[in-house]
Amino acid sequence: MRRSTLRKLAVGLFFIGPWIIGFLGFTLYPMIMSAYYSLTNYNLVNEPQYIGWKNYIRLLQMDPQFKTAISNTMYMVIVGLPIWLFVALVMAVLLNEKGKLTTFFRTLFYLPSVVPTVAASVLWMWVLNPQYGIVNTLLKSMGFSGPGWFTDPTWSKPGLILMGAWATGGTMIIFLAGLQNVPEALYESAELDGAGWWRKLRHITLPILTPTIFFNLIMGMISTFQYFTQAFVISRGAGSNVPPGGPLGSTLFYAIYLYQNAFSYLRMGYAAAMAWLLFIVILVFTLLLFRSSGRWVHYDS
Amino acid sequence: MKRTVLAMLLVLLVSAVAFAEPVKIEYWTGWGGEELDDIQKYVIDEFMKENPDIIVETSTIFGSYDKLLTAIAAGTPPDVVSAVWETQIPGLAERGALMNLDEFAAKSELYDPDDFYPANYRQSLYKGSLYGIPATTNTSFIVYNKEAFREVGLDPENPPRTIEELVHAADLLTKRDENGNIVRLGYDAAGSGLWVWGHVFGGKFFDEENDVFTINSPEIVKALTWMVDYVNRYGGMQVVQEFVSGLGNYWSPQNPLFAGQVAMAGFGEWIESFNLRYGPIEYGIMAFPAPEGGIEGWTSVGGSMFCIPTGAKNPEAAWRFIEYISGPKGSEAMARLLTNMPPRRSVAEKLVDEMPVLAFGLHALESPNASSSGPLTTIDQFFLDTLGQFAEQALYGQLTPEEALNQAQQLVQFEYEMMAF
Amino acid sequence: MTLSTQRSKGWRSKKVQETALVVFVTLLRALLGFAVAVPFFWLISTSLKPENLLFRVPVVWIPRPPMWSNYVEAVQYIPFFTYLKNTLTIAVPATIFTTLSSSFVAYGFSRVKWPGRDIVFMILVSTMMLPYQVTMVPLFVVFKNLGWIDTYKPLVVPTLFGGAFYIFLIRQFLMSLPMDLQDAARIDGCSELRIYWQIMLPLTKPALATTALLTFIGNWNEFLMPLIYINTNSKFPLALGLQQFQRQYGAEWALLMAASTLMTIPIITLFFATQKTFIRGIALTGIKG
Repeated sequence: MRRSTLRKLAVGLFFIGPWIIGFLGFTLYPMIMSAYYSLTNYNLVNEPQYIGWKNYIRLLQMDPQFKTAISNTMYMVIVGLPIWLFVALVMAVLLNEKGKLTTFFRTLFYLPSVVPTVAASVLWMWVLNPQYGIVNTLLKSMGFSGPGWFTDPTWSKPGLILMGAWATGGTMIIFLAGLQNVPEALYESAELDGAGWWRKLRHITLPILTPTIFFNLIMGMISTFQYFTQAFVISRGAGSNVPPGGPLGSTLFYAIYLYQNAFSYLRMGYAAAMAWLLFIVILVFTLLLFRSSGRWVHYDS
Repeated sequence: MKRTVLAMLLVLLVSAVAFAEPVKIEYWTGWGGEELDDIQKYVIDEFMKENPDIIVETSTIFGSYDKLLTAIAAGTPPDVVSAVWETQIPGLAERGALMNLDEFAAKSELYDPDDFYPANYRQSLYKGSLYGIPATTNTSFIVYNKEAFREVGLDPENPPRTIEELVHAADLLTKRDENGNIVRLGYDAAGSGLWVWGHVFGGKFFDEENDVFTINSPEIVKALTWMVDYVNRYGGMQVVQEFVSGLGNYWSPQNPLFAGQVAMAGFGEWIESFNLRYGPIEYGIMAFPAPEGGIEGWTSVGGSMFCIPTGAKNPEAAWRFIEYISGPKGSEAMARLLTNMPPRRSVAEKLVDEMPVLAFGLHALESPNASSSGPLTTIDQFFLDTLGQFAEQALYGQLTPEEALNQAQQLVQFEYEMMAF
Repeated sequence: MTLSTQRSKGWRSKKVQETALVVFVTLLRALLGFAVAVPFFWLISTSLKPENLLFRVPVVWIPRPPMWSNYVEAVQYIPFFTYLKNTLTIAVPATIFTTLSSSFVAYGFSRVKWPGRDIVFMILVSTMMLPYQVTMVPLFVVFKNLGWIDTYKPLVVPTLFGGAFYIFLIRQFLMSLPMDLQDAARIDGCSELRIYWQIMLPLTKPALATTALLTFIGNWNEFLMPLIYINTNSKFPLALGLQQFQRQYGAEWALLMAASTLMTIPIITLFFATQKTFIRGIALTGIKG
């Protein structure tokens, strides 16, 4: 290696040094340990006991809660996430068009996403209260009878999705930033060709936006697989003695069941095994998305 | 000269003791709100007055009881904790999370095991050793609103004695608006839980002799079947839950019993202090009515235990606090403040004339039919959560009671065996 | 209307079209805006109701007179200001540390070319996929052994080592700046540290502002981490403290809404004050997959 290369290596490592230390101490070492714990029976107080693959076998073969948690989480990834992305995209496109009160609406649309998740969750518990909530009251005044939302196993997840759509401002801002990168000249030349609003959106805006969509999709998927706080707060709203995940296990998401195993039952080994399975699932999904991206994501350069 | 020196030394010694830095102990409680304010004022502050060398720093962990487990596991526990239910003693003791109190108890003048009701005393032991001491305890029964009884033509002095009579009364007491929505529920049987009804139907969830769970025993299946039928009378679990989600804060005048949204409710002795705070209503008390072959006059017994976690910094001072609060004086004060049952016979008998609500408990605690509010095993939380989840699935009609309880049995028993090895 | 008249009025019809679009877009914005605003309205309205108005059908929209005392009661019901102080004790250093350390690391990933850089960067990016839960249990054990449980250290110390997402964000920004800047400085004999501190840092202000704002909001709202690591009540941050309004059955709804409003106001104010820089920062970093 040439001396100048060596020097550059030293400078580079000097700058990324903090991250390397953090990575080794707070990521890599814990990863190795959690892989080990996942093969043990460990209650945090006593020493871990090695039990081989038993935790994994038990999870995959005889834990009905685990299955419930997976199907609930998949529901959010497959139904919830696309809805959230769509709402965010619509908001961003609306803000990017010429219209009135842009700053006002931009702030308004973004606002819910800065409301603390805990506060937003309790607020929505009340907004969607079947008897005294504002949504059902509005529905009633229009002649519909609203569902039981968080008290009804079939409506609890749609309720959470609705709440998520309300708070999708963070995603919207990233879309908005992506939209501002679309060169004005492209629109102008399209207008000369007589393209209308819809055609411009379809053939210029969306293709240029695909990398941003892809980014939001990946980040959204990773965080949706770890969906926790909203459901944790809302499902315990029925009472602080109630285990989270109700009604009828309909909001028992993967991260919630994992937390319960770790900190309510002190089944640390079991929780570690769950975490590793989650990591593998996220990895597989990410790889699949990257594979598919060649077909629909356009990079301009 | 010698004398003066001695006297001076004595003065020095006394002032050294008097001016010694008081010991601080951290106390975590499961009580909160007004109840805790009262306990602080009338019990804890009193204790500190009598023991100026100890300062108790109280904090509530109401609603986040998991914290205790992680704090003990992390080695940052408080010195005293009372947010431990009697059912948690075995699990915590087995994991080595609680300090064995045998030695303290042997030396103590205030602690007298013979004064405790047998049911309470049993709960404070694990494998023959003492791990926690109750200062108050609770029994359970149904409280009913006499005014509502009169309103629908029921005799308020003659509450239901059989389970059929209970259902009949509940039907009469349930009111609906013109759209058919429930505005008053006679009685929320599902809300009392399968643990209660399973016992009332004569079932046992855990077989101590053989050390196995027996969640799917025929009596418990019968109890759950009854609960499912009961809920279906009112349009199913969903309808009932929708109604329940709109009920007000339990610790407020909006408590459904006081707000007139339910006419009968599972309760404990604290009904009396609630009635003073949020009422008054004219109320009556009845035992959970039993079916044929069930247990008449059943009650659960239990409540918070005062424990010293392993790793506590000041166990001696902690013990003195526990000794006081569970002693005759503390126990009496606690019972008065919370209108809870005193676990000590001497205190209960002293108070019953003044607090007639304790009569039920006095009677129930002497009977062999009292059982704890969960199984006294190492996996109480897992058991209670799992039982709750599967009972819920049966109540929502997703599983038959038998299927639900078979599955719960399998899971719980497996976890129990995993714990043991 | 003939074809020719239509054509001759082309400029006008285009204008009409544009106006129509503006009206249409504004209408849609208003519709969505209404849907977004309804829960906020409900938050304020509920926070001003006496408890007996909460459970009333038909629903009371605007309580008269408003119960302003709910706000006073809410900050007394839980030690609101203690929790606020705790939140700041975590969020302020965590924000400063994350911003500085992330930009420092990002410099190493963008402005210096060294062998293996891109591979290491890939590792960094892929750690974003690692669910927190994988490291949750061992980290708990690590912090337990360090005696850090029930202190703010587990929440603050890791921020000294940069956050993967923010490193990525700032790096994207740094990559877009011309290389000549530092080449000139290097020729002048500036040390890399000085180039970072005196030249690059000021230039990355928009990205730093975005990072700071996002981390501050994130820390302000963080629930899971303090839930795991903080045990003592008096050390709770606001997000955790809010839970105390929830009771065994039901909750102190009005007080909870009042406290939620109070907890939200600072963040909203902060966003108002910084939104221009913030959005520009995101736009400039050009987040792309």
